[in-house]
Amino acid sequence: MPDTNPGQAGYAELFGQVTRNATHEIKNELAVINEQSRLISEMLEMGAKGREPDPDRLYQLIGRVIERVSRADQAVKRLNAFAHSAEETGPICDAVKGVTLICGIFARQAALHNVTLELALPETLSVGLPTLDFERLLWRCLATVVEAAVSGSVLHLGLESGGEGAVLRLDAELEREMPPLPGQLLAEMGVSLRGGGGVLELGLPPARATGG
Amino acid sequence: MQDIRVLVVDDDPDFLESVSERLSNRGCIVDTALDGAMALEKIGQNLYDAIVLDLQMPKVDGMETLKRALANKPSLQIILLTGHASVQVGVEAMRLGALDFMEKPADLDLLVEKIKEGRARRIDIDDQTREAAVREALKKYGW
Repeated sequence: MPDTNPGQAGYAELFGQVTRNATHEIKNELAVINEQSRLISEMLEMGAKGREPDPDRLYQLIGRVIERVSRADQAVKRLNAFAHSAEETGPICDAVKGVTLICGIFARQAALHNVTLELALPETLSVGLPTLDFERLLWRCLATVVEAAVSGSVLHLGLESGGEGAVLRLDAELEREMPPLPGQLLAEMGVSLRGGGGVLELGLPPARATGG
Repeated sequence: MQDIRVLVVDDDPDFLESVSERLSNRGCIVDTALDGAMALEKIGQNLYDAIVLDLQMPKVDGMETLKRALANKPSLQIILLTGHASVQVGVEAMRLGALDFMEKPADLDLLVEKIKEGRARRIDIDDQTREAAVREALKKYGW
């Protein structure tokens, strides 16, 4: 669904998409944990009936359960971090943190399109956008590029200082033309758009000191 | 319950491995595919009593795999198994010809019951198809 809503509906849409992705990811992990733990249980039941389970196989399965619990935990942490980003209402945001978080949640959707995300980020970089606006813009860009990207390709995402503010660049091999990003949304956020082909280059407003 | 051949299709190798082993422990002969394209290739080459199909997969998703598989082999019995069940998707799957639609985590004994039901239906459809072919041949040659 295209994010063209300038107001609250646009944020609600972002929350809907993020929640849907994150909960699907968690549910998948739980389904695997369920199957693996039930398999372990069945192997032990068979052991009680005289068919001793292979200890190496049990350790392997238990190791995988632990790994999948850790993955589910990471997904919950990302969802929780996103929920807390609604509390960051100031005019600037930590863009590196925002990219890392949103790309972490979006990775599953990209994987369904058989696209891998590759990030090139500075250690720190802030931009002159409220956190939720930046996350909403980034989600929209990722969805736009991934929808048009070649299956099996890599979406390179870079963030760096540029001009007065920062430049966010998404670059991927496309199999069809990307739909345009909503101009009204970009204008409201003070974001400029360049690029062509498989490249989206967004000029983000600088983080200026407030007050005084 | 020997000779029940099942193809399990899921893009998560851990899930695939665990479900396959549990189904094998219940006497099924299990084949696996990691995506819809691989599943369609195996369906084209082998005879299965039932297909257990994940809905969300890269390349060719479950719904598209369901459509293409049934277009080639209408007697196939396909059970969609998904972590993201909704009434709308379930209705759509049944409308397209799925035997059933189950949500992960599924009760494996219930899934085996469904697989057995699929096998019975497949045999029934194949018998009817064979009988119709024989009747047609008899009619054609005036016997």
